[in-house]
Amino acid sequence: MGMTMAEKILARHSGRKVVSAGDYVTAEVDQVCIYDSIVELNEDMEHAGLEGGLTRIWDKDRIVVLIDHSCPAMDKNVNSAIKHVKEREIVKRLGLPHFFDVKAGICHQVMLDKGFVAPGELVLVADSHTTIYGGVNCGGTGVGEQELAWVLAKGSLWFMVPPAVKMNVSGRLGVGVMGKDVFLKVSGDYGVEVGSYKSMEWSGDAISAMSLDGRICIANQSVELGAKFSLFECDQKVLDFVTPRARRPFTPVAPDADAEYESVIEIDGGKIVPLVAQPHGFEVVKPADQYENVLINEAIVGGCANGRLEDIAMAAKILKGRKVHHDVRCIIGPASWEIYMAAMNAGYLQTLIEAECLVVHPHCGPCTGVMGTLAPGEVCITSTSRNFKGRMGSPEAFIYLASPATVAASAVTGHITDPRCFL
Amino acid sequence: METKIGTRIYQGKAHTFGDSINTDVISPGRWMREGLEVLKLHTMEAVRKDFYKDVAPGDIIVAGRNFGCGSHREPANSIMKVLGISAIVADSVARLYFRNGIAMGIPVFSAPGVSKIVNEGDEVQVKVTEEAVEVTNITTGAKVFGKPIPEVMRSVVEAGGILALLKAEMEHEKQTSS
Repeated sequence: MGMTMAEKILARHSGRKVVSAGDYVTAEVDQVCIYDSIVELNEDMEHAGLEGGLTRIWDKDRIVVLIDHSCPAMDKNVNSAIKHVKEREIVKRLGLPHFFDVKAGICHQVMLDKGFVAPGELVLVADSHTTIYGGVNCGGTGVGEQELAWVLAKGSLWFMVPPAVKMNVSGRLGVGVMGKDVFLKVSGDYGVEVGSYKSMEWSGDAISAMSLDGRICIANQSVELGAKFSLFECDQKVLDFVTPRARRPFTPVAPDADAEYESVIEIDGGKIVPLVAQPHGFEVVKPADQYENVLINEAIVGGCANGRLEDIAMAAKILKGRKVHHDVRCIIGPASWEIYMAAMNAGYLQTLIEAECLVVHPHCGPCTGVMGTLAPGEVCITSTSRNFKGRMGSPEAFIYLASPATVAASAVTGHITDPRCFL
Repeated sequence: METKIGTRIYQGKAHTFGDSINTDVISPGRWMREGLEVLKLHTMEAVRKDFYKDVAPGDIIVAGRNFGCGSHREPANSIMKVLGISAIVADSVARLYFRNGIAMGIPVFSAPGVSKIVNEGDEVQVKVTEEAVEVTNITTGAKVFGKPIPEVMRSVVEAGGILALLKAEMEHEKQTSS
């Protein structure tokens, strides 16, 4: 019996020729990353009686540490500022070579930009959206800080080999339809547990034709479907991105023709339209034009879900020569400085600023309620990762989730809008 | 590694919640940076205001599907200990919340159907053995079962969490090398 991509990655990293769904393995990890929660990790280790807190790191070259969530420190009681000081001290004490202070951007995009992830690898980050690396054929998954402490000491962790769901997206996506809409189609039609504890493995003509940015968005958002991994095959688009950046030689994985899937989901990509998930989750999804009576106060393009160049280019295309509606504040948050610079060089940022968008520095704030917070009763449409109740401020606010195209179109009109009328 | 898990029993008054209770609801981001004692006052407030006032030590959370979905944030697990919740049992538990719970020694279990047999305020017993997670509604006598904790996780549970296990391993290494 052949193997899925997830089985191949876990087999390779556990020194086995073959593994099957349901097996438990101890797998060696290629790369880890943690942000300011390294401070809690250090304190938790001290409380657990591990003298000196975090002292042992199996390979200092394999850990990236950065500051991206509250960045620069924004809270009035300076808790974040104090935490950042402690974080810098830990990095200095341990002599960690790959530290990115408040200047780099969102962890996952920094990891991608700077070549810390590559096809066929196994990467763990203390963050749920780590499934994102599947967009470049890399087995990425989230862990908690305390499990990461184990990984930092040992360089390995146990995993259940996940059963796989084959996600076959045929046809071709229409104009104004983005990776985000594919995710919303799946969450709306198949629910938020379709990938629970599983590897979602994507294929089909629409996926082959899709941009790398679109795939990376889907991989990122797959954690909202419960996924452990969300894997795309390695093609020329992946190689063009990864090869000049990768820090290590790498070997991609492809599924065997006779790999065993727990189920196969067929989606006609040509039938997907711009979609919107209504508050406060991903389950209730309808075409954007069915929400046209929803007035908005805030519109956000950004985050690790949709702060890449394609997303900013799309927003610029729709907002070029137009203005953000006078009742709306529109936040554009590139995911990293590399993307920020590329968007600047392409003229997108000028277009967006002329349209009266607020172009903010790369960090997690717009997605996590650290900035641009919502008052009770306010309505936001966002292309960041989550529309959970209370995520962006008041639990009495309403967050709709959609693609950068739909968000930008809505920012122009002041109500939720199908972007195709601007394209 | 050969370890055995003894029978563990948790019993207390049930607080019931619905499906997809995410970690932004359990641990709202805007209060998370204020420390656990402040966070406690806001846990679950998006769906149930002043939840902390209703909780007595030993109480059990009973929830629907996909409990703990969303962010990996550990305060969403550790706040349960601060509140005095002895165990969480849900129809299903999101992957990261489950792994964090085991790693942190904060008991969280899946038992499909549990949300159907428990009402707010019922007395509930969760019995964890090598064979199953057995949930009994003491008030009504109804019972459901969940799959046992995977064997590989038992050593973590037995040690009381992954940091305790790491400490034991590191001490063992030190002894054997000296």
